[in-house]
Amino acid sequence: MLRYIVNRIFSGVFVLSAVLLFAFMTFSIGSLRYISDISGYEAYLLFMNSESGIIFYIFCIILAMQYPIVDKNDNLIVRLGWKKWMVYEIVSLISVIILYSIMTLAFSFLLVPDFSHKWSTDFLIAMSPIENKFTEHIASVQNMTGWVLYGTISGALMTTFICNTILAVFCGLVVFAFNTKRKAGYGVLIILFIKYIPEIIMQYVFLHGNSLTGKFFKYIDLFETAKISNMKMGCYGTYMQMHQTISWLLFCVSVLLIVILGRKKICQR
Amino acid sequence: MPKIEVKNISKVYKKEKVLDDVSFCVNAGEIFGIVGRNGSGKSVLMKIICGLAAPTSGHIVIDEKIIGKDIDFPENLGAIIEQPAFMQFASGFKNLKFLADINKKIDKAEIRSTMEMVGLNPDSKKWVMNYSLGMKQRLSIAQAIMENPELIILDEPMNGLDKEMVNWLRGYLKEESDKGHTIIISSHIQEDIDILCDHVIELDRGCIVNAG
Repeated sequence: MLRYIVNRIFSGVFVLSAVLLFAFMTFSIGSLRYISDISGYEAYLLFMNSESGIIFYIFCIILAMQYPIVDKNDNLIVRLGWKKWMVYEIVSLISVIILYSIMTLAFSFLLVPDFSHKWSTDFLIAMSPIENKFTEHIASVQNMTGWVLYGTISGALMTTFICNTILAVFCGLVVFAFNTKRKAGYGVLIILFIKYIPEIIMQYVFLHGNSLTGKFFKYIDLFETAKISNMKMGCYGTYMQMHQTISWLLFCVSVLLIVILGRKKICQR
Repeated sequence: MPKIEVKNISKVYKKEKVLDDVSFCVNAGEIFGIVGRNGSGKSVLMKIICGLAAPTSGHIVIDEKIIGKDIDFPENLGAIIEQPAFMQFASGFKNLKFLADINKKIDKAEIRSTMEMVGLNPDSKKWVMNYSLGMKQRLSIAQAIMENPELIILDEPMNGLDKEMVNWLRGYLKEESDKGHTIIISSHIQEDIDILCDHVIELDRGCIVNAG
């Protein structure tokens, strides 16, 4: 299985995605080492928790669109059987996303090679709502006051890393689930739905007061609250704790795995 | 030894009828040929027989077991459908070893002898990525035959092979047929079909236009 996973991970798409990620991160946070005193830890926090972080998800989705590869894999499928082969593909997908997430972290330290384990002055200044210092490089810096006030820099980094990796794996599995049934990567639409539609709907809900307060919107509110509060404020979110968020995501991942693996011949063309 | 019944197979793909009510029977120990132009539905039909694609209607019965219902894939199958994907960053031997380890029917010695049989060096460390088209095809044949399958399904197996290898493969398939193994082969080379096959069907736009 290890050999299969290694072979699946190191594809041309993966190499290209890694190069493009590095290029984008250079553009986004590359200059911070020269114009500020922020550390590699903070560079990663800024990158992943600002709008720039979406690039990580976009590439994870692109990578996930390569799964499952049915064509030309016949020699393996007839030997393994559908179900076992699907497990191989899912493990490969999860591995590639975790590796990509680790690469994002590594690139941050490569671009800003400062391992100071303390909040830097510039990072604290960036917390100010009127401060616009980093906006030329990173779209926005927001909602990290909770970390600064209550958390350690390594705790914030681990929170960001774990939450984003789990969320990316979840997004990857959604794409995978859609690709097993339809080949054109309709999962991307679902990811966009997860990412943006709740915000649009929530704005609509807020504008229209109590007229749209059904169960469906409650769930969207729950997801959005968890995502915004915990992804951007760490474990001190206003409504849900981090472990609850992770529990929710793991639950969703489990349901997706059951759905994918439970459908025996889902991949048949 | 497997007997294959193809019963009223139709396949619609993106609103286009790729196969239209195809029926035939392949007896055990027979070499059965499928010919037809590009896009006539040969590969799709072979995929359906292998259990790798589901028919829109109809079914495949192999030894009284329905593919997709009683069993997912034919038992003891060796197949080449299009160009199989191999691990590009591994040698030919490691690729075959990886596949052989799944069912553990054969050992290293048998893999080596199969590789030698198809004209590949089992000791070569050359990655598959650096193989020529002909070498990749030899490796495809090796993976299909190494476990001594009773049912061999080969889609255009002669592609990219030199004359010597073509002659060897023809002889090998004849021997397997004599042992009672069932073989389905598609080829656009009429000579292969004439020399090898006991029965042949010709497909055109998903329909059988000729049978003999």
